[in-house]
Amino acid sequence: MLNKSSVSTVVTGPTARTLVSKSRARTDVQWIISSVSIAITLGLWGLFASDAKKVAGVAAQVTIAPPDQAVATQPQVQTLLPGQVLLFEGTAPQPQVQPAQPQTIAPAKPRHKSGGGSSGPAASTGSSHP
Amino acid sequence: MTQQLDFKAMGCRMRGVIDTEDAAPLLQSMPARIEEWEQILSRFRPDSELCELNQRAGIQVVVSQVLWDVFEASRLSEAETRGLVNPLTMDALIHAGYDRTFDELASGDVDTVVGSTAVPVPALQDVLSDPEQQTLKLPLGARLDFGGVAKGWVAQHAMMMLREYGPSLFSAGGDIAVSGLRGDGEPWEIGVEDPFHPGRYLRSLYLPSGAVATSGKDYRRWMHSGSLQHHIIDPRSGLPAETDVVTATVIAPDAILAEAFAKAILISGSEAGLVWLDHDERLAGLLLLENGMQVGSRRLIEYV
Repeated sequence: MLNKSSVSTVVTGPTARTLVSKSRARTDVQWIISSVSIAITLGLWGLFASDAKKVAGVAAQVTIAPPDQAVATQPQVQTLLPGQVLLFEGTAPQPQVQPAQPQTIAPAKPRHKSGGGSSGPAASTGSSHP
Repeated sequence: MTQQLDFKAMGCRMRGVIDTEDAAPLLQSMPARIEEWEQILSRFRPDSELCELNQRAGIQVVVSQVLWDVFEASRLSEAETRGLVNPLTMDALIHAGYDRTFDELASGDVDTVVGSTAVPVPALQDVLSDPEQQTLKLPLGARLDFGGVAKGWVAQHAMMMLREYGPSLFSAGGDIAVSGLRGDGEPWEIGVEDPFHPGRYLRSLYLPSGAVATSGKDYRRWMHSGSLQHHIIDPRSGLPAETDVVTATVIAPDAILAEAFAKAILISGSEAGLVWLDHDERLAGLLLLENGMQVGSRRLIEYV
């Protein structure tokens, strides 16, 4: 029964050198083919990947920067309508009713005579009572 | 020559005045006419049309022209006052102890077996009405009580009857409507009663047209379950209104509006009430506060 070591020891001389040379040439060709394949693969990858990145970037830009936010980063002159509130942050202030200033009434002074020559008012108003 | 008739109806004092000489028969007919109206509108008469309507809640009922007109007046009042005047506060009022005429309440025989919790007040929109058929359908459990709206309506319509004969005034328990200037071209002098000093006036108002009414928590008060109650129910809470206003006197184009706004401003309190009076060009008012201060709206100067 022969083994590999016993075979290699049999092939010697010029024939052996030729075999070694062919083997080296085949290996070189394989390396070249592999390198070219990898280069083409990487080139195509880079080409398509950059296109996809551009699309994703556009999408991300649309998502992250909505129109109103763009307005906020680029201040524009706004015309506020009456009653319109411009908010920068926080919650809107609650409307507050400003109470009217109490108007204290001076003591009553008769300015007219009552009707029909009688004295006193024609009628009186008060909380309805029996 | 002014002619005047005083009588009592609807649980309060009535006064009709005509500034002419030949209207005595018309004045004399007014008590009977108002008795007819009271028989329709009173919640204290079990056989009144209003009580019969209240007993038929859930059923569509054809009502008289008077009851329909007063219901429409109450709907107007509810809308104008943003719901602060609501004719469906009857259960809340009874819950507060106003379950009989004020004459009976004043006698001191007051029911004490009632809690202090609020009774929810139904929305007036829940009453279904058909103007063509002139029908009303109350929601189950709801009862109408026109209260002050009825007095305002009576004052306005009684005055409209009297004015056919000349310059006139009608007062229904302090809700006063005038037809215009008196016969001599002067406005009518109206005394605003001082609730702290019965028989005296806070001041006089001079009314060339329109109406004036006062709502207050000074009269119609009673002790109930250990606390002092009054008859002005805040529909928002279902309880007697908590307010710093003792009486609110309001001048408005007609007595229905004057009565409605007087009650609404009493419920609202002095601050919100004055804002309301100043923002509505139809109104002027005088408020008497619990601290004794008299406060007037901006337009009150036109009437003093």
